[in-house]
Amino acid sequence: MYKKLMDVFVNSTESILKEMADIDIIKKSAPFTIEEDFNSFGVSSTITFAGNNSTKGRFIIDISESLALEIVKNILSQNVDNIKERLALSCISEMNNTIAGDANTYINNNFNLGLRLAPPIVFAGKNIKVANAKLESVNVVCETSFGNMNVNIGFTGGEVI
Amino acid sequence: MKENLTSPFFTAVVNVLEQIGVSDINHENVLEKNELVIKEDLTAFIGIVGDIKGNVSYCCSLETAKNLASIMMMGMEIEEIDDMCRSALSELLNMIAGNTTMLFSEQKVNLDITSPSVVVGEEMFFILSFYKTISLTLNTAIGVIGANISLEI
Repeated sequence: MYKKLMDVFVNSTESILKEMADIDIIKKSAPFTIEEDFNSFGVSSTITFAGNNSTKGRFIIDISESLALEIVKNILSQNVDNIKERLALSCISEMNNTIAGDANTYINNNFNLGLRLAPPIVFAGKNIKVANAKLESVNVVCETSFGNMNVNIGFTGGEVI
Repeated sequence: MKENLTSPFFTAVVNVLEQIGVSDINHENVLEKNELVIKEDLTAFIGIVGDIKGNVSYCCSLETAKNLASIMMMGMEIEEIDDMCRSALSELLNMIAGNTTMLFSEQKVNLDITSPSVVVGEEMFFILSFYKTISLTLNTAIGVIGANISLEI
């Protein structure tokens, strides 16, 4: 699996979360593989991509509602009560876009995968499951003082790095 | 949004649904929305990169999804949307996206599709796009399917 790429996405998530929302990741799990569906904490933003040699995949930042509200509050400098407000979700989406853009630049410069990103998609709800056909993903659970966050990346095709 | 860019997406979904045996497909008017918010419990989406960039999504109720999954699984009775159903629906999305790519290649438009995702949940609130989105509602014998195309152009 693409474990080296996972490190890139986790590093980008950690630095952009600090830079944009001033929130520290205080503990990270070891990367583990998810072979079936991905279970969401409640608020998710997904960016899918395609690259050289039929490489395809997707990057998810998946956040508990309490952490999502804290991120939005810090980025916008205003309190938001409901994460399902358009402004709140667009804020999470923009953060994901920044993280994925940062990671993508590093990956394309260092691994020559030629990844091209589709625009971000964002959603919130209860008991969410995200299914991907024929896609094995690697997940890291990140703990913060305000709640947990999954960083999940799945790749298919191309050459294993 | 230019019709020559959106019509392959709509043509492909009708083509593939007809191929797998969905009947009585007719559509309501095409709507252009400034942004797209989806409140259905099941949404399948796939990204588009290349000469054009964006996302395409198809949404429906859980009942319609069960009917679609049943057709994909040779008529098997579906009681709940489990792993196998979600995989079958992802495969359907792959088929639609593949058909779309073929239609675009006839127009000399080079695009690539990303991996499909199927999202199922309760009390869903989805923002698929912050750009203009073209939406088409398909009425079929197995239920209503919403098709949405959002392209950064």
